[in-house]
Amino acid sequence: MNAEIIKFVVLGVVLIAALMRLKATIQGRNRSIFVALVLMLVGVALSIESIYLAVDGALGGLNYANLLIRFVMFTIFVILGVKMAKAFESPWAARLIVGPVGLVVLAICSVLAVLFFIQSDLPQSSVGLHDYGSQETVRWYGRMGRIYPTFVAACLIVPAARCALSRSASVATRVASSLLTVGFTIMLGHEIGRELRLVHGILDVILPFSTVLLVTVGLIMFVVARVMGEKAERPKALSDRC
Amino acid sequence: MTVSAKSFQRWRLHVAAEVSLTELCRQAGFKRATLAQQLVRGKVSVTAVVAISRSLGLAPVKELSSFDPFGDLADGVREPTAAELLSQVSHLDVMEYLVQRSRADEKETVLPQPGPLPHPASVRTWLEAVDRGDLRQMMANVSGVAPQNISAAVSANRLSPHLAVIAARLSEVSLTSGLVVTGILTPEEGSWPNGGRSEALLQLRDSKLVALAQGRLEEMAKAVRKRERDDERAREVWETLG
Repeated sequence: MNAEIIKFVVLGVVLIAALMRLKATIQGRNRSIFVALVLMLVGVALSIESIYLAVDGALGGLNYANLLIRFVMFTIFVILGVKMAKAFESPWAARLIVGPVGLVVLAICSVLAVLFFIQSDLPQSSVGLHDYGSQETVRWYGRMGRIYPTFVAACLIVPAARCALSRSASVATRVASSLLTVGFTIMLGHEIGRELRLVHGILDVILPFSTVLLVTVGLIMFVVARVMGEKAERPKALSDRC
Repeated sequence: MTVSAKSFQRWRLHVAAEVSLTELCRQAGFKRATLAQQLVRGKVSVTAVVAISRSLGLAPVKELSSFDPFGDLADGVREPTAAELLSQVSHLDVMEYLVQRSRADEKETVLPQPGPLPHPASVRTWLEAVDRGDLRQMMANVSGVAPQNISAAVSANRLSPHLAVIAARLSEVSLTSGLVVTGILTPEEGSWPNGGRSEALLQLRDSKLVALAQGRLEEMAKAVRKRERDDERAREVWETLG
């Protein structure tokens, strides 16, 4: 499959997910998730060559758009990390993600990403900085951008899996949580595979974008779960089935 | 739990040599395909043996005794104890009777009318009634079934016939009791006296009846609290992410 097609399909799904929340967001419900979806839209769009070249051209053609993607990613994962740790009632995940450890990791990664970016020689727009992959500083710049998101994803695997397995949650909630579990696991696996030089070619597109797709569809399923949950009667705790 | 296919075939030829397997199933109201599958796997369910015995007009307890794991079943039949009978009155029936007795006139005797047996927590209340200390652990030791699997079964109000008989054997109560409270045998087939539960309730002194209701209420409180907490947790997920 063509890499560009995959990206456009994912872009469409993220757009649908964002639009689905538009009304609720205006009413003030879970605004931060909407923000995360819009940022995902920006991130996915900037991974598409034609859009990247246009945007980066407007920013001066020196790949500042790529630096923008890094910070878009950081913001997305702070939002998702906080909200999901809260939703899955996992205080330890919340502490890791936005506690001292998480924030220090995030700060260091941000500073180093900027430093490595400045140190690199990036004279022309290149989507994903593919033309400059041979530069050591570019590789480290990429790593700095991935550490925190991967760390957050790793923290959320267990809480999401626990929700997916809990019998008391509704089917939609469990499906959504399963999608997140798989998505974050793929993300972690992809990073490990990349560091071990096991991931090449089209897989390098399929894996990260399947994570985006799974997380986005998961977020859609949570909306479904909410709509169904609000409609359903609160289950009677008292019954003769004790 | 099951009996071996070999011993089942031997038994079948003994009790109904001239009847075909298909005919046997039809009379017993048991799916032919299910039985065929069980025979292929080498294990036939106790339910099948009981159903076929019934349809042939034979006593299930006596027939089950011709199978290895249940060899001592017929000889181990006794009267159920008062505690066992009371354990098979559901929580709400206990409380209903308490209310009825409290409101009755001085001279009037209210006849308790407990609902169907087994009730929704039959297995657990029965195990608690016959337990003389560490019953579940001993059941696990004797059967080789892991304690957490026994707990899971009990929570779902299930217990395999094999474990039901082991529990009765260990507790030195009638060996058919466990099969009655799991619904494998009817009370009559298990030699539980007609109206036995009613009589046991009737014999209770007021203070004992109140104490019984108190214990059941505590269990109910625990179960209802858990259900409410589960519901809250499930709600929190889609409230935060939906």
